[in-house]
Amino acid sequence: METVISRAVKDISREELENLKREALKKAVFRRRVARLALTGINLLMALFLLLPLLYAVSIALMPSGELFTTSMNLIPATPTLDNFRQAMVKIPLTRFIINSFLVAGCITAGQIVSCSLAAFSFSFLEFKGKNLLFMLVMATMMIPGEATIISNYLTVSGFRWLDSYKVLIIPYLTSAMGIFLFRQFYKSFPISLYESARIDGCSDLRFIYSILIPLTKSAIGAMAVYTFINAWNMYLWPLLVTGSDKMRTVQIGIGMLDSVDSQSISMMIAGVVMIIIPSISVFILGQKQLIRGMFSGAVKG
Amino acid sequence: MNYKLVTRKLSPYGYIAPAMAIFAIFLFFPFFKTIYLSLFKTNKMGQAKLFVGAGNYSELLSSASFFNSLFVTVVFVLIVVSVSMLLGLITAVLCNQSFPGIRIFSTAYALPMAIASSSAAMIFKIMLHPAIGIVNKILGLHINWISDPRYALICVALLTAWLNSGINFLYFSAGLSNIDEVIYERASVDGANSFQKFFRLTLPGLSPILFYTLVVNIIQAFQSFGQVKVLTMGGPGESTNLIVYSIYRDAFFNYRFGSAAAQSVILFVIIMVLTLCMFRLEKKGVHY
Amino acid sequence: MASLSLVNVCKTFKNGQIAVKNFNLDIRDQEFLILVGPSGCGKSTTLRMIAGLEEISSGELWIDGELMNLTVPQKRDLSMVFQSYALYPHLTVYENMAFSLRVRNVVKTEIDQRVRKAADVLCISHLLVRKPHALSGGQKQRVAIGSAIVREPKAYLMDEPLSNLDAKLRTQMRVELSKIHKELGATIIYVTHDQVEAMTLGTRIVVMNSGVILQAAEPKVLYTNPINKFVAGFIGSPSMNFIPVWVERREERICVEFSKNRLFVNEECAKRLMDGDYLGRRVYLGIRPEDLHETGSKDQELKLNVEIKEVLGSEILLHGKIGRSPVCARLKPDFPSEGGKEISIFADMSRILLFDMETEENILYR
Repeated sequence: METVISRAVKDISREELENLKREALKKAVFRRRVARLALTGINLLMALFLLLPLLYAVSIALMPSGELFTTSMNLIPATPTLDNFRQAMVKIPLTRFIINSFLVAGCITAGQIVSCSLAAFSFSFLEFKGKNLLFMLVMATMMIPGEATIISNYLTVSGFRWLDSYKVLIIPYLTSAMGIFLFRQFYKSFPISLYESARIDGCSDLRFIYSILIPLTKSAIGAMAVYTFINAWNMYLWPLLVTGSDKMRTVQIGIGMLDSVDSQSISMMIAGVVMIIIPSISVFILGQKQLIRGMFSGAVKG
Repeated sequence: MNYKLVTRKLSPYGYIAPAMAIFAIFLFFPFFKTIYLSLFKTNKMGQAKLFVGAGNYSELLSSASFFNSLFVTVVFVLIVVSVSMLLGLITAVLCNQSFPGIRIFSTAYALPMAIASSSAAMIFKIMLHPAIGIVNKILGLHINWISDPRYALICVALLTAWLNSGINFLYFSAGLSNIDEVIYERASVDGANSFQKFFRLTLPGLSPILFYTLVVNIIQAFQSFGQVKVLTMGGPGESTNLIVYSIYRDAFFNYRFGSAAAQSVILFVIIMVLTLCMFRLEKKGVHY
Repeated sequence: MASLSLVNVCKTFKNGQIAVKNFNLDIRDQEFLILVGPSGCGKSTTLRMIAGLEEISSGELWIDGELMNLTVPQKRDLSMVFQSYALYPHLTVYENMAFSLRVRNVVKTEIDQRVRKAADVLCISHLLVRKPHALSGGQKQRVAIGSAIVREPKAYLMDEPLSNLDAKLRTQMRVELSKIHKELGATIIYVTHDQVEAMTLGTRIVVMNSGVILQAAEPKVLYTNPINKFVAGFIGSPSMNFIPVWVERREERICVEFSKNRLFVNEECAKRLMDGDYLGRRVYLGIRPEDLHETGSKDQELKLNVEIKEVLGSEILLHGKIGRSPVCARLKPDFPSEGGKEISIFADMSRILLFDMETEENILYR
C-alpha cells in the first residue's frame, strides 16, 4: 500500500488527519480481506478441481443408471439411490474381496513394522561383522524397481506352488528397505547410552524394543502403518498375476470384474470403486497427521 | 556361559534375518534370475531352454515395437513428472499461508496419494467416456479420448500426474515449512516484492526437496502399470504401451519370458543410470 | 538518513495481549537510539512496527514527515539486522549483501562497488564466496550488518544483533558498530536487553518495561538521574543497592535510619524529603556499589557484614548485608577484608537516591 498521507498533510488540521487515517485504515482492512478471500477462493477452486474425479464418482454411484445416459449436464443425481451399491455387492463377491484385502494389507502392515523395526534396531544399536555392507545391501534394494523382478518372482512362487493363496500375496511384501531406513533414521536420534543403560539394568533386547523403542517411535510406526496399508490396499500388478479364483482376489483386481461399459453396469462399477476407495481414504484421513509427522521429521531432507 | 556368548554374537543377525530372507528370496534372487533369464529363450512355463546370449537384447534393439514402447514411456514420464510436480508445488504454495479451513484443503490436496491406480483409472474411464463423460460435457467437445491415439497417452499421463500430485504436495509442504520464516521478513525490509520472494527465496529454498521429489517421481512414473491395464490396455495401437505393460504382455500373453526379462533389465538399467546421474548432478548444483 | 516520530503508538495482539502502550518518541537524524528493557517489554515489537513487520494497532508512525502506518515494509526504505541474522542460506555472502540492491534493480557495477566497500569496512572481503553455513557466528553477524549497510536507507533497525555472540566478540563488535555509526552518520534504532550495550553504544536510551516507556535520556543522565527504582536498578552493573530506610530528624538534621545505621542527607535532599512529607515514613535508599568508599566521615558510615569477596583485578566487589538488606560495594583491590567480618564503609551522600515506597519514583528526580 502506498503512502497515503504525505508531507503536505502536516499542515492540515488534526481532524482532517484523523479522517484521512480512518479512511486509509478502512481501505487497508478491505484490501486485506479481499486478499484473504481470494486466497480461500483459489484454494476452493483448486481443491474442487483436484477432487472432481472423486466427487464425480460418488455422484455417479448414487445415480440411477437411467439418469447417467444423457448428453446434458448431470453433475448431481436428481434421485439419489443406494441401489448401485446393493447390486455391486450381489453381482460380485465384493465382501469377500474386501475381507481379503483387509487381511492381506493388515498382515503386510504388521509384518513390515515388525521386520523393519527389528532390522533397524540391529543396524542402529548392535555391533556385528558386515553391518555396513549389509546395510548398503538393504539400501541398494531401493534401486531395484519391483516391476523389474516381477517375472522371476512369479516363476519362483509358481515353482513353490503358492499361486492363488494368501501367503503369496503377503510374504513377498513382509519387509521394505524404506521402512528399515525410516526406523533407523528415528533410532539414530536416540543416544546409544539409552540401550547400554537398559542392558545394564538387565533388559533383554526384545524387551528393550518392546518397552522402550516402540513407545518412543509411535509417530514413525504410525506413518509406516498408514503408508504401508494404503500401498498394500492399492497393490495391483502382483495380485493380478498370482490370484486366479474369486476366493483369493483382492479388491483392486476383483473390481475389474465389474468393468464393462454398458449403461447398467457403469453406475454399478463406480459404486464398487467408491466402496473400495473408502477404506484407503479413511485410513489416510485418520492417519494423515501421523504420516506427515513421521515421514518428514528429518527423515526426508534432500 | 559359552552358549550365552554365542547367542550374543549371533543375535544381531537374528534380528535382521527376517528382512534379509525376504530380500534374498524376493529381490536379490529374482533380480539375478531375471538377468539370467534374459540370456535365454524359455518355454511356456518360463524355464530357460536355449541359451541365446545377447540374442534377446539384440532382438529388442532391432524391434520397432520396443523403441516405440521406450519412446512412449519417456513422453509419458515427462508429462507425468512435470504436471504432478507443478500441481504439488502450486497446492503446497497455496496452502502455505494460514487461512480458515486450511486443514481441509491440505487433506484434499494430499488425498490422491491414497487412491489406487486401477480404481482411479476406472473413474477416469467414465469421465472420459465419449458420450456421457463429464470431460466432454464440460469442455463441449466430442472426442473419444481413450480410443484416439493422439489423446490416449496424454489421458493416462494426466491421470497418473493426478495420482502422484498428492505425495508431491506433502513433500513440498514439508520443504516449505523447512524455510525459515525470518528470511521472508528480512526480504520484505530489503524491498523484495512477492514475486521476487517466490523466485529468489522460495524456489531455491525448495531446491533440495525439489530434487529429491524429482528423482522419486521419475522412478515412480517409469513403473506405472495399473492405469494402463485398466484404461487403455496399451492401445490404441501401441500408443500407450508403457514399458512395464510391455513386459507384462510379453511374459503373460506371449509367454516370451526371455524377452520380457531382457526388458526388465533394461528398465532397471535406465532407472539406475537416471538416479546416479541425478545424484551426481545434485552434488554439483542445487544443494546448500 | 531521516528522523522518525512515533505518536501514541499501541500494539494489541490478536489474543488481546497488550505489547506496547502509548509509545511517544521523536528519533532525531543521526541518532543512535537504544531500546532497552527486560525480555517481553515490547521493545522488539516496537522495532518490528517501525519496520512494518507488525501492524500498528493505533497511533502514528512518521518517517521524514510521511505517515507510514500502512506502508508495506518494502516501501519504507529501512534496513534491518535480525537477532538470528536471517541470512539467505542458499546465497553466498556476496549475494546476501547484494540482495537488497538486486531486488531494487541497481546496476551491476554499482552493486559490486558497494558490496566490496561494505565488505572492506567489516573485514569480510575474503568470505564473499562462502555460503552462510560455512561461517562462524561472528562472521554471520558481520555479513548481516554488511547486508544492511550496502544500502543507504532512511534508518537502520537492529534487533539484538549481538546477543548470539560470545562475550569477547560482543565487545569487539560493539566498538565496530560505534565506528560504523560515526562513519555513516546513520540513524540507528537498536534493540537490546543488555544494559552494557545500551550504555556504550547509544546516544540516547529508551528504557521500556511492560510496553511503556519509563525514561528516554542520554546514557549519563539515565545513570545519574533515573526516573524510578526500575530504571535505577536496570542501568548499571552490578546494579544499584536498595535498602528500605526510615526518614527521621536527628540533631536538627534530616537523616535516614536502618538497623543501627544512620546517614545524614545533604541539604537539597533534606528539602525534597520535607517537601514530599516523607518525615517518619519509609523510603528506599538507592546507592550504587561504586559510590561506597573505604574512607569518610561518621555521617556517612555503614556497617557491612561481608559474606563474599570477588576479586576482579582492578577492583574488588564485596557482597554482604547491612541489616537484612543485601549490599554490594565496589572497592579498591588493596582494601583489607574477608568474608565473615564486619567492616565500615562510607556512602557518597551526594550520589544517593531515594525512592518512594509505593510509587517507586525517584524522590530526587530533577
